[in-house]
Amino acid sequence: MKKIIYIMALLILSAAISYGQSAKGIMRRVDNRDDGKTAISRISLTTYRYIKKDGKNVPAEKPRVKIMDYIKKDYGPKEKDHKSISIILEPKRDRGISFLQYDYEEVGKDTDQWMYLTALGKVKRLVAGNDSEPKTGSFFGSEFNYEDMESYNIDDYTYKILGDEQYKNNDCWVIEATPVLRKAIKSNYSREMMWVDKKRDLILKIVLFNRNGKKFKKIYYSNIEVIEGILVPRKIVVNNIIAKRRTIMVYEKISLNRPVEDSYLTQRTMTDKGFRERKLKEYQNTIM
Amino acid sequence: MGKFVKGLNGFFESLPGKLRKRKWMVLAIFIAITVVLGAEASKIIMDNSLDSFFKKDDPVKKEYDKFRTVFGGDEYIYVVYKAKDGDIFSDNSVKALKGFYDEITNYRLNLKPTDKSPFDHIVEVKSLINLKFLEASKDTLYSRSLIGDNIPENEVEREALRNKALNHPDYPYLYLSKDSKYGGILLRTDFNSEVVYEDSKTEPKNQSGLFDEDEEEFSEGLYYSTTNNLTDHLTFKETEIAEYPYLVSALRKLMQKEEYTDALEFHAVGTPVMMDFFGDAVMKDLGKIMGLVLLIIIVMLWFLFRSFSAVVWPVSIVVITLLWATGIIGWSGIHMSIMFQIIIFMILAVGVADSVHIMSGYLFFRNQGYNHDKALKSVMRKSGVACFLTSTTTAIGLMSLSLVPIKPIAVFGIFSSLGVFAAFIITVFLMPLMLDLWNPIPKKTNKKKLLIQRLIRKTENTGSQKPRTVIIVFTVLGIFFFAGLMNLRIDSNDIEVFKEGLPIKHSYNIVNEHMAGSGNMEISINFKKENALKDPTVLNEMEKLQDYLLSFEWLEVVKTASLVNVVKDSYKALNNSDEKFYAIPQDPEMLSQTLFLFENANNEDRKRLVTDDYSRARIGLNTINAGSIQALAFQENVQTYIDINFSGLKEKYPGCEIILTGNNALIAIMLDYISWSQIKSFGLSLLVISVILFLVFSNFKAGAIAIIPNVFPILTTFGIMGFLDIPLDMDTLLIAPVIIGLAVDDTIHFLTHYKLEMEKYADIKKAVVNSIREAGQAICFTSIILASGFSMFFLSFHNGLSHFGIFSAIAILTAFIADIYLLPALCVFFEVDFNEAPVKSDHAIATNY
Repeated sequence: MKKIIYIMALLILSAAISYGQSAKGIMRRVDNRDDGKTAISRISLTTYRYIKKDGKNVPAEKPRVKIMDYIKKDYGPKEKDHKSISIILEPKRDRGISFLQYDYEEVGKDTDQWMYLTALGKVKRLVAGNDSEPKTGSFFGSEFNYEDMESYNIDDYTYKILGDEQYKNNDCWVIEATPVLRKAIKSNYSREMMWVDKKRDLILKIVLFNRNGKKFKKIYYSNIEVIEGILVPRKIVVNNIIAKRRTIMVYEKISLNRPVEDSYLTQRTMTDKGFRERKLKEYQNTIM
Repeated sequence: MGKFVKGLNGFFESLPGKLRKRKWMVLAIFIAITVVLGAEASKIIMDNSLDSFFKKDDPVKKEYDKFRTVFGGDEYIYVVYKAKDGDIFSDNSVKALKGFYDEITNYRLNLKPTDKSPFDHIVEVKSLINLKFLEASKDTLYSRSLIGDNIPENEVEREALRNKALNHPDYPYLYLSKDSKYGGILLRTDFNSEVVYEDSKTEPKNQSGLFDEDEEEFSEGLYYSTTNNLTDHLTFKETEIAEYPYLVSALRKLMQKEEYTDALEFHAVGTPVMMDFFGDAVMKDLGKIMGLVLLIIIVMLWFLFRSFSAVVWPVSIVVITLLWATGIIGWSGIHMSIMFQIIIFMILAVGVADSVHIMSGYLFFRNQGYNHDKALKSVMRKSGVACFLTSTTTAIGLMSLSLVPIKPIAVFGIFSSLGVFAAFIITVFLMPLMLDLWNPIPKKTNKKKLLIQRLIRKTENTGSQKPRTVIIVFTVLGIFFFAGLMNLRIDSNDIEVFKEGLPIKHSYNIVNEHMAGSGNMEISINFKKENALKDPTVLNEMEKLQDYLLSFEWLEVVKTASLVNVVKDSYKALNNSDEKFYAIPQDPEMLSQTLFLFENANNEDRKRLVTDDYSRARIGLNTINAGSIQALAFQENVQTYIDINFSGLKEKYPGCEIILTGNNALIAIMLDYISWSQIKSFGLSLLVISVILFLVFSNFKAGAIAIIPNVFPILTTFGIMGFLDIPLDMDTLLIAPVIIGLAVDDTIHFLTHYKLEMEKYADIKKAVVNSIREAGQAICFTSIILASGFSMFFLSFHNGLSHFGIFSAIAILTAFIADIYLLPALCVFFEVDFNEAPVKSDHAIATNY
């Protein structure tokens, strides 16, 4: 009898250990999932403030829509460095405004960012530059901030499996990620909860807690399609619970792993309208 | 009605006998009620928020709430710090600030996710450490924290930092003083900022899981336009009052940490600090004053009656009444303001008056040689009825205040009238039993009259002998004080009510002398059209308006903040920090893109300045603390300016609305309520009391005459206040109803005795003198006790209460003098003999019998 208890205890213990180990393992698999070396896409960002009416949250005002072309290419040995350019199409008044961004995997190496305003006719390098503070920037005025859009460094967090549950008919791990000190100081979030599709190693939902420990944002990934053999959530929704605002980001068009010239991800694209439009047309012909 | 009073006489006369039969039951009931209500007393909640001043459906308040639903809550704590070495940029000062800042912003790092912390309420911190400083050079745009991690290491760096901060158009006064001896930290709290939806009761659970229980459903199809009234059904979730001290005490602990106090001296101001202060101070103050007042009452009772039982019983009655009153307040759950002290004191005053009248009457009859039983019956017959009448008139008079649109005053009216009634019930039911149990025996030594009694004796004939002279003297005095009354200002100032020397006053003084001031107003701008705020002509007008505000002469606007400020700052940064470009770009496309940059860089700040669709904006104003008169006049001036200068824009954007709102503006508007409601409530109380007096005495002449000695004390008090330039504010305005309530009591006591005497002797002069002898003693005693009690308020931390106490004491004494001299003179002069035909309505009732 004692032996049985002993064995049971051992089993539970080992299960617990493997559970603990696998949290990071799961996240590593999520992180390593192929997302394509390049992406050529057209994105729409729809943002609105909402109110509750008859138990449902509905837009309180006319949603604001921004449409942009977004082109990305991965670099580096592990394809963990990224260069991307976003060019605004709508609203008309802002047409041609563009952002060029270089992200680096290396810890401590800051993102490089340039902005081009058509009314100014000049490229400006943007430096936010405070290491130990959360970034305040918003992605084109949406509820996504630059931290949400940044590439994710797996070592910035410690992970814990909270359990598993069905989310939209998918078997999911629910994983809690807590930033380590160096990340916690400069993150907008004190904690995250993620719903990871067990079969596909795909995050379906994230709940973010703000620096006051309160539920802050929820991000949902849906309309998942297979493009070029790669899983792509074509609709990403963020709900800012505190500001009562919602942004819906949709890949109106997207193609992966099509060739993108390195020269397109430079400042020339921002200033040289002819170059930009010609190349863009070329790329978009390949889009589905 | 005459029969009604007679009936009452009989009822009260027989009451002691009836009570005696069911002595134990009566006692048991009273003890039970006292215990039950006493337990509720601890639940009283103090609330001095702006919300507490307005009734829920107040239109002005609603307008402000709408504004807040659009731009977010605005309960800030403003922490001003003084560098002990005289320079906030010295190494010590900057390091201390940085440490303080880090503790507030990174407090969660050492907490478990589920741990609660007081600092959870601080949702934003702005200080020299983290202010986003925009600068540009060589086509690089830097948006960096002003200090951040880069603590200046030498004199050169320190001076560079100082120049940067001082030369920024938006920093001085708000984040640092011009001489850089003081700095400021703005802490935005989440207090009263959470919006609740009135129709959110039905929350369908949709795909909610175990780990995220509050999943909500969205419907993106239809939307509501910006112009409709979708904010109408929004309200704010009220923050639990206990959360204020929870945060403020944690903050205070941090501000007292030695590592920071070595370099900096902190002063916190703002609504949460005020709430914390009041939550604590009102009760402490009340405890202190109440203790003294009870002591004074005990001493006075002993001095007047020279008998232990004559001290113990009235005090017991007062204490029981207070337990009932506080119990009812606690049980009701209604939040209390500083008015709580006045409520308690009003009830105490009435409790004392009731019990002293019974006690004094009882002793009067015992001194006339009556035995215990007969004396008790006689006093209940006369004074019992008088107490009933006084309590009813006072209660009704106070109840009329519940119609005043200012919440604390309405609450005062309701609870003090309940308390007055409770005091009456307790007195007439318990006093006879108490006197049965232990009664004061009149002592022969008491024959020697007190000085004041002797004075009354000497002058008891004045009114009846020389009515004409007395009336003339009072008329002249009345005219004199009326002149003072004409000088009376109506002005409320929520900072000036604190006495000098209080730490909180000191903090406010510093903020007003060295920094941006403690006053706050908002201009709400609604163009009702998308992207209107991206129109350069709109921003130009806003800029001019801001310049106008800053140049205002007699109300000092220290800072204005709006979209204009950030546009100019961003445009300058886009142009390599060239000072020439600190302006609004006049090209709409350039303006739009400048705003685009700002929105990208700091969307959270943007949301607090302009709505997502750029149809509504705000201009925030920091002003030096101003009284409500100034604020009201300021509001009128600003509104006139807007009407004239925005007429062009109003053509372009029909339906555009620009209004001044915010805390100070609201207080100013409340002042408008005060001046009107004051007159209304005063008039209403007078009217109600007159009607009661007509009915009670079935005599028009007596009723009309009774009003005069009650108007006189108010005239005197407000006249003196006018001469001394003490303003009528939230607290002092209550003198009128309180005094009417108390002074009328004296009049009623006098007239009921007078009426009974007239029935006996039918001789006006004799009736007058006898009434003064009988009722005069009690009136005199209660007036002295109450006046000395009220004057104890001068010890309060609160100037409003101090003034209230001192002037109430003056009013009580004046009322006493008027009742002892003027009223008899009027009775004699107008020959009030109760023989005239009864009032018409009464006649009808009478003939029905």
